[in-house]
Amino acid sequence: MANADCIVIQGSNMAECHPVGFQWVAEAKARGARVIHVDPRFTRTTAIADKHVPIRAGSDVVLLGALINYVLSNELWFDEYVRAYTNASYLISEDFQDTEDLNGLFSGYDPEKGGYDLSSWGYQTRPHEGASGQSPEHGEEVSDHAEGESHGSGGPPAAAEPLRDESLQDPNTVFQILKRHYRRYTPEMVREACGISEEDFDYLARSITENSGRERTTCFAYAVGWTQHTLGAQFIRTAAILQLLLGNMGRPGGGIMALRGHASIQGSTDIPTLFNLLPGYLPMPKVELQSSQEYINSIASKQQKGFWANADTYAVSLLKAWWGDAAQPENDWAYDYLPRLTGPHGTYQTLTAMLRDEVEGYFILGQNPAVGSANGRMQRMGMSHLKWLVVRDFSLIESATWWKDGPEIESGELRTEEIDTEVFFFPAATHVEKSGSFTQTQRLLQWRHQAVTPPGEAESELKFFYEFGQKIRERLADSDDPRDRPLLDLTWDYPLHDDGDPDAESVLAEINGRFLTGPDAGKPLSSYAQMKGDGSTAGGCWIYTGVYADKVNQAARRVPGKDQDEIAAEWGWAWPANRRILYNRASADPQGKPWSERKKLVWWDEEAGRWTGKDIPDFLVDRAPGTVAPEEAGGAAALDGDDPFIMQADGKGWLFAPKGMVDGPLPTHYEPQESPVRNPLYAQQPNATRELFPRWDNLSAPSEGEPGAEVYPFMFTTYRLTEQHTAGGMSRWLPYLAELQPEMFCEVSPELAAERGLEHNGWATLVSPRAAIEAKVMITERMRPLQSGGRTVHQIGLPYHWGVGGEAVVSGDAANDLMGITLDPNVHIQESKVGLCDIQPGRRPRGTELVELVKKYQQRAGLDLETGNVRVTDPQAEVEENR
Amino acid sequence: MVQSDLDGPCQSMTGASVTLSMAPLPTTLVHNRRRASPHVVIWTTLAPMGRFSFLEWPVVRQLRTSDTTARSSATVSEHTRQITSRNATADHVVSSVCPYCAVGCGQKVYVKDNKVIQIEGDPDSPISRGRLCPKGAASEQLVNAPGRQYHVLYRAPKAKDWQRLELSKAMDMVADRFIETRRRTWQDADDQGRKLNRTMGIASLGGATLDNEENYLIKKLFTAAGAIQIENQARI
Repeated sequence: MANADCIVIQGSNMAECHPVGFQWVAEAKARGARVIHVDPRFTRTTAIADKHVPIRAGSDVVLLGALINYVLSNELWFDEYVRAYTNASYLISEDFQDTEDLNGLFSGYDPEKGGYDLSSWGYQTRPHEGASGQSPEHGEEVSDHAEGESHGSGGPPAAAEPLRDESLQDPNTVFQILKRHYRRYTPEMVREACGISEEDFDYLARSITENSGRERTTCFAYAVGWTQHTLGAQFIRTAAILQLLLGNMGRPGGGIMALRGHASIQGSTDIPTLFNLLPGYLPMPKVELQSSQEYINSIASKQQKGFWANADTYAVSLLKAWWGDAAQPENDWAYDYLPRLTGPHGTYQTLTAMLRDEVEGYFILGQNPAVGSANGRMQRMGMSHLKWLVVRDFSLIESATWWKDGPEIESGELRTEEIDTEVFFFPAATHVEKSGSFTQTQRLLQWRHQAVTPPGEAESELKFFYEFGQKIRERLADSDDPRDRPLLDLTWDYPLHDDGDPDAESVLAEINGRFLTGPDAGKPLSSYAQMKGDGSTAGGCWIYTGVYADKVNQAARRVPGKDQDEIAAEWGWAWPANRRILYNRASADPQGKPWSERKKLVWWDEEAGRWTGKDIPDFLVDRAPGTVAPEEAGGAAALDGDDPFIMQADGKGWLFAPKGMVDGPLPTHYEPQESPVRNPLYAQQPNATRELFPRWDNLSAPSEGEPGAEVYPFMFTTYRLTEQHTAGGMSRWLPYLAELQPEMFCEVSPELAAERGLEHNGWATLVSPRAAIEAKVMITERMRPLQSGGRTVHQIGLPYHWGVGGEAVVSGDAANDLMGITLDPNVHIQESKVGLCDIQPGRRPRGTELVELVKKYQQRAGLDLETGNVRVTDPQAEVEENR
Repeated sequence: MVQSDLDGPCQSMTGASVTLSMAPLPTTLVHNRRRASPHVVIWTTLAPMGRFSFLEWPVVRQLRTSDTTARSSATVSEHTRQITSRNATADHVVSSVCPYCAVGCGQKVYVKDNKVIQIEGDPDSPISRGRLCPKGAASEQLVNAPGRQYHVLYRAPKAKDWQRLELSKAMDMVADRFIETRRRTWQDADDQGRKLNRTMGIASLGGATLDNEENYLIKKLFTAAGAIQIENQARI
């Protein structure tokens, strides 16, 4: 980021939430960069920025779409980059219909399924004998919503030989479709939808376009302000389209930075404790994939371009790492040892299964869902349905004590002596009491050395789960039940230290992988390109291969920054292959020369016949710029010299996504589940494919124009503070931090305070269809009412760090109790950046009166299970018509 | 009165003139760097020594040394000269990484007698260049938090409070329940006869605060057990 000429921070309060990372924004600014903060609130980030652009939460696609339109209408795109490195010239199926044609829906929508058939979004391909010109690969239906995220490291399969129109004039080109799709995303529309003035829009548009091109680059940074929406993944897609048009991907000072919020949240996505993934973004197998071959074919075809074509080698190496000699070709590499998915099984689906008494046991490992997950009451009620609960943490967080001091005990909805759940609390070791690696937000692994041994009965998850695995295996040792084979055949023999702790480095070595046969048997792999699909290699996470190359823990490297260049390649290790900027082939022009001296990163060294530069080239090191790969080639061999996006099936950056997104090939503005305005662009109000949970404990507020909308008239949004951390488990128990931010508050504008009679430092009660909470009032001009949808829109800011319990140094009502559960269909994340509520002066009632208050509001608004849960708000007629 | 968090010479200068009337403060305060205000420094210069030396008068010290503007060595008291950084007393220093957000700031962990005595920013880190935010700077207290639990606790069905349990006993109990639930909730196949090989009776949440190696073992073990509802903060 320090190399950017312009930085747009949107959906993040970086100075507050990533303060030390923010020094690089400050550094960029000191070097002359322009910093713009787009956010509903004026924050610590805004205070440093050159410009604050206040926005109505949830309307970001309108703003970003209008920037795309601005670039296209004013011919400001980076022409050579767009032509060479994106799919702008590709022809899309003639069956494709845009939201402009269908008033807010794309072709292929199935109202019964609540999802799309993606077949009309595919490329037109070169006709083979007997083929119609449409790619058969795109005829596949999306049977459920568990697929979107499974290609986090690359692109989903696509056809090998798409048709192109290099002139970009054919109406079916991606470029022309893009133009039509965003033509109504104008500055006037931005004013109407986002509440942003035309002057502010112009400033933003000029800033990013004047700071993009050969000589200059613009960077975007976002956090959960972009993700926690019913179309969160599409917010990021919109920024990706814009950055591709401006030629800012794969270049220093460019890109889109995801600012992640936990020390190893990136690592826990790469090596996923997530339902839909296996390590390295391999998908968990779905039920219809009954053999390893079907499974591998669903990931990639051997004929497609790029490194996903080798998915078989990654998958077989993983199965070998887990099941060793028990994984053989005869038993399909133990593929049947893997359990199968039948739909989304995310944390919120699991919650409803708990409430249906389908889940008996629940492990909570360093997380605090009673405070930190949406709809806190449902979370706590769900836990009361469990037979047994295991909580591992440093202190008695609210998720461990809800049965005796949770809000539902106080309100009388639960009685301690009637709760049958057994609760086990295990004390956990802190980050200095164990060795291991964290992967930070830019994919960099850093090793921590153990400083002290854990006190008392505290122990690491590594030790706990190793021993827990041993205990389970001992109990099943005599079993001849085939269902126990996966546990008994599991490779589970790690060297132990004197204190019984498994050696974390040996686990890292397994993750890295090794040769199993041949002259190098036993040696660590140094690159995932060495992996084989014949069982001769093992490796637990292919993208991490190389982290233990040469039997050296590369993540533990600590050559001081001052002794290295800016790339600092010898500090830790970044996946893949220690590359610091992904797709950096795009930092050079199609001929392999840097776009400019000022922005050079990697380039083709004609004499040496290889790619070289400051970073490790993210490309085949000897593939010359002008190379045209033979038509019959597949995988990496099929990459042309100008295909920088080496994980994509066509080597190009996708302006239009023919696959991979379940809610549309182009980002489209839909209103949040609960919105104070009507969608100004389409008759279709919300995302028609969002995941709904119509339940009496998860009611939604009516949006503008629906009966009862006046009962919950104000927007609220949630956020973090520097001095606290997420749901408080690692901060509200620390006296220093508790003192710095002691209590729950709400930020309101002077105008809203006057309207509702709120007093600064007084109390307020906030009521949503799910709950009522109280908070101290902070009246501040940092909150600014916006004009949108022909009315004044008030937004209320709520930090979400506090919870009700008896153990923390500080406690308070939880913002997440107000939140409902409605999810993005691609990644199943909840919409917790926008909700509707009422606010009134004074404290909330106690006991049963609290429950009554929430009910009274629900009745006044006339809420039922239909409210807000209608998928298609108008284009129904069009859908029928086009069937 | 200026209350400064800075150690060292500039302190006694800034507040010297207003501090003499203050009553002697308990010496414990002197050892608390965060609260060590200028007057404390002055007082300890004179009182604990129990002797009076003309040469130690600030103005004389100022003349005696080359510190003519009294912004350096002349203002350093005997007490200040005698104290050392607590980090200097550490047995060893260990390189680590901050456990809060995902920036990945470098940390130096100072250890004495198997106790963490302080955690500071690592100036070698090209990411953080020695800096820590309030959370990272407070992480010593995360390790030594007063509310931290050191024992396994168990709450029986319908019970009103916790009870202590041996670690190995508790693990045995969880292992028994795990196997029992798995057996009871096992699904071999769906209604079309397609293999499922799973249990929907066991779920897990958390991982973004854990190490890669830990997440790896968790995912590996749960997957082998057929438990698929494994989730973490990345979904939230």
